[in-house]
Amino acid sequence: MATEAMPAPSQRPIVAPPLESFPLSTEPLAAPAPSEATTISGSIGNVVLDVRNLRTYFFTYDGVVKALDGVTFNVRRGETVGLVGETGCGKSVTAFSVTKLIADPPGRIMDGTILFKGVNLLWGLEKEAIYRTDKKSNRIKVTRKYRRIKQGQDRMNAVRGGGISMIFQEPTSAMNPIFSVSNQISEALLLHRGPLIVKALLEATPNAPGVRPAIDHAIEVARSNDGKQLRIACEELGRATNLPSVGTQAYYILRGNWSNPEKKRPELLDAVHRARLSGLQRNFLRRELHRLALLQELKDVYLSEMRHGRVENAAHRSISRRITGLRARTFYFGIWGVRGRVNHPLVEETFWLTVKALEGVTIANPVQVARGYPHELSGGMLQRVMIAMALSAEPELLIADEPTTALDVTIQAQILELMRELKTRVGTAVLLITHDLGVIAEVADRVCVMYAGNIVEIGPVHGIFKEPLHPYTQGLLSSIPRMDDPTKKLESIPGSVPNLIYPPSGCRFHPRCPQAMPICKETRPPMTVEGGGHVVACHLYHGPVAKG
Amino acid sequence: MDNGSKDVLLSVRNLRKHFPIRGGIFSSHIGDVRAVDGISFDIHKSETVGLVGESGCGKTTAGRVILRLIEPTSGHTYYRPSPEVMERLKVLYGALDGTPADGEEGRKPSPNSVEALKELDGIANKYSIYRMSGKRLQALRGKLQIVFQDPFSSLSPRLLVRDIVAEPLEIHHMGTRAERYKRVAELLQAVGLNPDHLWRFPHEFSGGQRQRIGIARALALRPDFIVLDEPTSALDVSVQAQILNILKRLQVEQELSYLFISHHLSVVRAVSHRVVVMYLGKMAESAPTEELFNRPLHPYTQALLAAIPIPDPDHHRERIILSGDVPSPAAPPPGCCFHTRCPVVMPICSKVDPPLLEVRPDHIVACHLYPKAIGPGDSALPMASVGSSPLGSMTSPGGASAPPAS
Amino acid sequence: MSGSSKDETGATQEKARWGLPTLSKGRPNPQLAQLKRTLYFLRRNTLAIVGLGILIFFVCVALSSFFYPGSNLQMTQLCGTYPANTNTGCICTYPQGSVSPGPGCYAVSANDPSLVPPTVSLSPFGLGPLPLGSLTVDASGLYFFNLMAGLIKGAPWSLGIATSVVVSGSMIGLFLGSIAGYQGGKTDEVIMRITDVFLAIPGLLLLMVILATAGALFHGLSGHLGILILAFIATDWPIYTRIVRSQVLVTREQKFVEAAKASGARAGRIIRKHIVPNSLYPVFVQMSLDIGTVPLGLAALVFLGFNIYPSQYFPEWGLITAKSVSETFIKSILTLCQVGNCIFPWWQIFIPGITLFLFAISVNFLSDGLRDALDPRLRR
Repeated sequence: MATEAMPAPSQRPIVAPPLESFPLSTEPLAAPAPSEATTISGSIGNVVLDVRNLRTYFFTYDGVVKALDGVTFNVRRGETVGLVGETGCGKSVTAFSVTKLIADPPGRIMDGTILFKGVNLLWGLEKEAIYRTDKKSNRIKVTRKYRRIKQGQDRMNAVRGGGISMIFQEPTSAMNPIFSVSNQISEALLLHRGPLIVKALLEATPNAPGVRPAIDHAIEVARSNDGKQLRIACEELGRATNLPSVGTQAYYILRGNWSNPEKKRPELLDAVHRARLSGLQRNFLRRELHRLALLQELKDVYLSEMRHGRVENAAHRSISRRITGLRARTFYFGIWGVRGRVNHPLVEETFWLTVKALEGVTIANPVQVARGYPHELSGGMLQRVMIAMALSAEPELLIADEPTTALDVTIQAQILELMRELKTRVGTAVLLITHDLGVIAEVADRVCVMYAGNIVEIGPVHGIFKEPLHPYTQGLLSSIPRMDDPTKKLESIPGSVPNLIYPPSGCRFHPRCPQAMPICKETRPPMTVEGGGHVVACHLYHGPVAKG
Repeated sequence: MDNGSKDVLLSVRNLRKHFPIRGGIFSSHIGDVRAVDGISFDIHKSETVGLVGESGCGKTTAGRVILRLIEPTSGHTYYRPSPEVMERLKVLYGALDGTPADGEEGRKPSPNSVEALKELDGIANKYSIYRMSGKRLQALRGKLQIVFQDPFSSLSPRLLVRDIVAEPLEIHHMGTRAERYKRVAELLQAVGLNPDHLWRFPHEFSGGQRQRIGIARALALRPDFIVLDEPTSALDVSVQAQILNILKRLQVEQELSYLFISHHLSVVRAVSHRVVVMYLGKMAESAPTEELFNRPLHPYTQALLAAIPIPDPDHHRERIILSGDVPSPAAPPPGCCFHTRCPVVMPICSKVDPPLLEVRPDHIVACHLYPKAIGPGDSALPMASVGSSPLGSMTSPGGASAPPAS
Repeated sequence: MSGSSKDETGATQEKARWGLPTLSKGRPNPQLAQLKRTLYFLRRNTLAIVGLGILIFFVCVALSSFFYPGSNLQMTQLCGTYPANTNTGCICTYPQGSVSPGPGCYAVSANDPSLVPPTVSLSPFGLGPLPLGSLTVDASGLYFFNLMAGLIKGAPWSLGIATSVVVSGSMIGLFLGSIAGYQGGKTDEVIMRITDVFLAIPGLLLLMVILATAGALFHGLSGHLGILILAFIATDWPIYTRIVRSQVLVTREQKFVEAAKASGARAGRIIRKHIVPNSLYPVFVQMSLDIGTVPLGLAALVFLGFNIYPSQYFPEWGLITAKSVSETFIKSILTLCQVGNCIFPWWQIFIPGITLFLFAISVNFLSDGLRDALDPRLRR
């Protein structure tokens, strides 16, 4: 994870993507030769997500919807790639294909390679279904092997959350209304960082010699009304007890009590001593650690399966045996009984970690929000909570599916500001999907323009906006009402988005293209590298009639 | 873009709509959601007025109330007042400044405005759409139409397009069936759709085409005025451009006036002649388009303009990020409703509600930063100097009590 | 944009009639396309096809029952049971070779169509099953009973009563529910409270109360079929009102209703043209469910001893089942099993019971499939 600050977009040198990322063959639908480097170990260079020739079809009553037909792009470490397109172009389908969340009837990922840091997410795809063409009615019959599909989903669970995480469009309906906010974020935390959290709790040292002086120091600093200093002092306290969340808790206990922080000393002591676990609690936590470690092992097995391309049955069997054995020994006491008291330290711990995560997305009153419920929060706050949940697992790639479409303009500005800040602070790679070119211009480093299931242009954000190459991009840019040039006539692209059941032949944009040529109707244009990191799929730039 | 009192199609005055909140065991009246809390503006012939604001500011409700799809709590909308009547309205509302007119908020009018109220009542009986009934109201329905935001739910899924567009004609019993269907074909052609599309169901069309069907339906009865309730918010950018071009063309061809409700300022700029900015049910600012965008006076307008993402990666501009969220319209903050988020808030803002004053020619703002209106000698009289504060006449010495029109 | 390759030219002709421009090639008729789509989804649901098949079978049986021996209504009512001694025009047949059940009966060859399989018998203990379709004597010895004929003759009655109850109930429910849902306010309150009163009383109890009251008040009415149907409608309409009202509440918030209001449409027109057509799907589903429950309700009433039919030998499934059960059990309790001849005629209870069961469950499957096919969200 890049932790140093990223230079502003205008100052960053524009680097051409490595040539081997894009197939230059004229037959884009042929499967690309997988390079050995990607399947054996590690990732090539700094590419986090490498999508090649992704094809996703939906088998519906009205026909086969060819939602994605050979989509190729990549996302590099720490950069924000914007995926732009209109309704029906397939950008959400791309996001769901990458995380394999396509509803399996009726959809199917047919073909393609998705390499996430060297791990092939689509390994085992060809065994998941059998396709037969019914000659009489000319329909394709799909026979799905649900067992294999489920295995594929289990494998993807190893990557989701910790590797790739996602935020969705409607924040008000994205969270479960019956659980508190902290409960839901804790769930995500425990799922992906469980062993670390429990281990930290077990190894905490509330009786360390440095703890008392740290408490005194914190109370001293609280008297001085200085927020920054107080935070530093509380972090010291956290370090002294070997448990950082104690620091967060201490900060919120002391905050706002400028007049008499001494009153809060018992609370502080309670906070510190929550890390003092009884024998029963320790036992429980050790068992939890064991269980979580087993789940982590399972995830690692799945990852290695996808990386090396072979099933590891022996490892599966051993882990599942151990899990079953484990389940036989733990039992449930009831919330108010022993289990409740035993479970409590973990709940407290994750609560304060949640508070820290909410701080990270600049929520002003994180404790209140964490204790509250989703229906008490507005859209903007909920979207921040979603971002906190998504980032809590420290993913390599964050996919944001139209995160600000459902929000008001001023709230959208807040969220975009937050995303820019997170870009410099956390440095996760982001795949931002939207139809709003203004949002792209503000946040993205590189832009992929999609039309009707194909990527038509990829380029750095300046290149796309200043010198759009593909006629579709040019049409899009000229149809936006501009604030800086209000009298400009709005040029619209004639026609409408094609029906993806019967897509146009050759280049899918040719019926609406003002510069269509006869060849556009016949062959699909391959992606041509134009230099400056700009890649375009258009016959104008390729072949004998290419312009200079 | 006529100014003044000629060719006024609709004059909205002090419109209020409060939705009662019922709670408790007996569903008693606990409070009000003040969806629309006193808005006033004029719409001229062939003019587009843009109504801007965020969600929850009441612009949708305002559009509905102006069409009388919802009955208002108080206030009037005058349909086609003659220029003389407009002048009288200006005078009367100016004279009533500070005092509640029309039984607003249950307060009794002061004795010296009883005359003015009586005359206002007489004018309202003749021109206000809320006092029309029967045949006149039915005829009015044809003249004031609406196009909705969601092209997916605004067309009945079980009717053919032909029936959807012919429905207004059927309701008003216009012509025989064959004539109606002919007119439907004409209307579809006018919005750029193939007349063959008559024979399809709405779900077979894309969003942009459905929106066009909605526009065709609105045009069926040859209206004067169409409320466009976020017509392009659910559509893509290129389709949006098509629809906006169609709307502009129709405005010229058929001399229509539009009330363009939207939260996309860039779109509003492209179509409107005049812009009204609303916040939490009250008017914050109202000015001709270029004046508003070049010189936004109200801090909320400035923040809105600064928040629009510009599709130009090199464009760096001053960021005004508003803190906090929009307050609920059921419990608006005291004084100026914007003061909880305002970056330049002053002590007076939390106590007193700023009145609407004309601080530049034809530019009306409600903000304590601009306490003085331009005097009567400069240009047109302030058209909406009725403040909703009880201290209205005391805090606005400039244009509050307007002298009688000459 | 439908995927069918065949073009319907009905639209072309209609367009020519209105003098509107027609296309060079015909366009698919959209309403037909919708119907085809619904049928396609119904086809894919095996259970629904099974249910539909059984239901069609029953309908065919009901239709063919009119050709069953017996000329006028009186005969039809009584031909389920053949009075042995009176001359009512019913034909009494028995297969050649077996003993004649009574006077006036004809011997026919074993392949005669009036001998309908399977072998059923209501004979007292000790006689055992008689040869195919022959007549049997009931307890009094006066009336003969042919179970198969009774079931066949009963099919149109069960279906007919069920259909009329359901259709009337749903129409009442549609009317009241749409008014209540659309108007809201006091009308809504009043209608819904009345509905709640009817729903609070268990259906069977309400039926019994209504029938008993009607029977007590108007002496000629006990056993009158019209009162029976009215009683069932009275217990059935509240559910439809509820369903329709909830749909109407959703539909009336849709924008197209507001658009119609903006064009000046009045409440009646809006309800008729916009709200009702969009609220029909749940009503269809409920209707198909109720068709199954009405015959079961009739059977329940008869089991409880209510005298709801014109005659105790009225060929209705519920009545046949009840009589079979009571006769069989009484016999089995009262008659001591003689040596070697104690066969419990389980088929007398089983066969009419299973007819009822098949009918109800086939209707259930069909309604499930219909709901899945009609629901716009579940469709692919």
